Amino acid sequence: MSETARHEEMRDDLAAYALGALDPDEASVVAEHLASCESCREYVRWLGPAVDLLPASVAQVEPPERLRESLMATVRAEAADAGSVQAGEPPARSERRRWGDFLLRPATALAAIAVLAAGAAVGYALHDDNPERIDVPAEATGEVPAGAVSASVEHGAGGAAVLHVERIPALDRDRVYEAWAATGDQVEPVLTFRPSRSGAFNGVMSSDLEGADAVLVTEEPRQVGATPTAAPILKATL
Amino acid sequence: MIHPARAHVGWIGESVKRHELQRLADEDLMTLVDGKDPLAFEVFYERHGAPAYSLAQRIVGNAQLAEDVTQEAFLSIWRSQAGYDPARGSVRSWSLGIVRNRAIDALRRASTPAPRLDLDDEVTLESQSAGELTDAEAIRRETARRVRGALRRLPQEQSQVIQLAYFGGFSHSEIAEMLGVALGTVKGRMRLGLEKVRASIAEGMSVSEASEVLP
Repeated sequence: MSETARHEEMRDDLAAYALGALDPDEASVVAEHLASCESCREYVRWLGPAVDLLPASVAQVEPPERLRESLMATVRAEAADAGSVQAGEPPARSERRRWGDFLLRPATALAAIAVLAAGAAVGYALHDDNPERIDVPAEATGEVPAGAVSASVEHGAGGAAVLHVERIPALDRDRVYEAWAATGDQVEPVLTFRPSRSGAFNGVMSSDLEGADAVLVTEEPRQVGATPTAAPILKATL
Repeated sequence: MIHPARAHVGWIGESVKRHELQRLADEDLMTLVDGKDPLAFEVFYERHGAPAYSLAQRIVGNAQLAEDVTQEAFLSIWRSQAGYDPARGSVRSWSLGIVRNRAIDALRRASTPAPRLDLDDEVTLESQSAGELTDAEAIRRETARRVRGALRRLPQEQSQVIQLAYFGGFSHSEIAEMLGVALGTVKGRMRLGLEKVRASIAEGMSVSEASEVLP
């Protein structure tokens, strides 16, 4: 059988695979083939929207309000049990950890000191058209290539603090970025995020940053702890 | 320089934060959901709950079971340690994939026959007048109309195998046995049908646009 004929025959299997209609053993064989065949991968990618859009053919019906109520009651209860940040509330002061604890870790102390020294020279607020809101550029610290990432922290006027990031490196699935508000030698986690495919992210922090000296961004495991586990890759001096 | 609109952001309470969350792209919202933010999760549900419930009802054919399936699927997303991975596609297709799997599992557990597999009545689809629609919603509805049209135009035997597989959760061998045709015939019909649906979606719409306007 020619290569073309083999791919042609394979396409029937690929369509069934895209629909999730192959038996598990057959699906494994197809997955193995896809790993080494760009032409077949391209075909499955092309077919993808036809499968993804099948739910669009379904009559749209509004779920009953009791579904939302029941779901949110469970979610809020679990969040409260887990001590997660509730809407509109910054973390309790008791959750804050001493920044010095992090500095004492040998693996990160040198890098962090370098960041703090660099931060002393940069990061002054730039005022925009609204004098009450300020947009503070964040500086890359050397943990990421210079010029690769652009970021700023918008805050003030009693409003939300917002982090804007562009071109930040992609992460492995089990990693996230965490923004920390640093006040003296204390830090508190204020925003967990993963960037979009383009490396962009805009998000509201859980603190208005009043009284904070700086915002730092570190790469962390998905379950973020109370203190950073790595040196910051971005720092905005407020 | 920040956008002038952003300069007036004021966030003190939940309603303002909700407004901010509603402006976030799906991928950014999922980061907050992964961080166990209940309000972000509620906004996620507001965006995707109705399509999810609709799909579940289509698969299980029962409003009460669809409610259970939707709740189970959304709680699994909330409790998930793995979280959303952009490499898996759009948030909408990822979440609907979870709902579909849960619905098919529920169908099998209940040992109830799959619901009718003909296309839904167009009349039941739209309750909002065109004047009330946002641009994004209008595009979604146009996409939905296009997909329904594509499925209707398929020869019945092609539409049938696609719907048995996707909405019924049957494997190609089960479908072959059910219809009394050869396995190769079922796979061939699936392929021809899907290729036609794919071509119909692409008419007048780029692949990226199609991916972004899931139901």
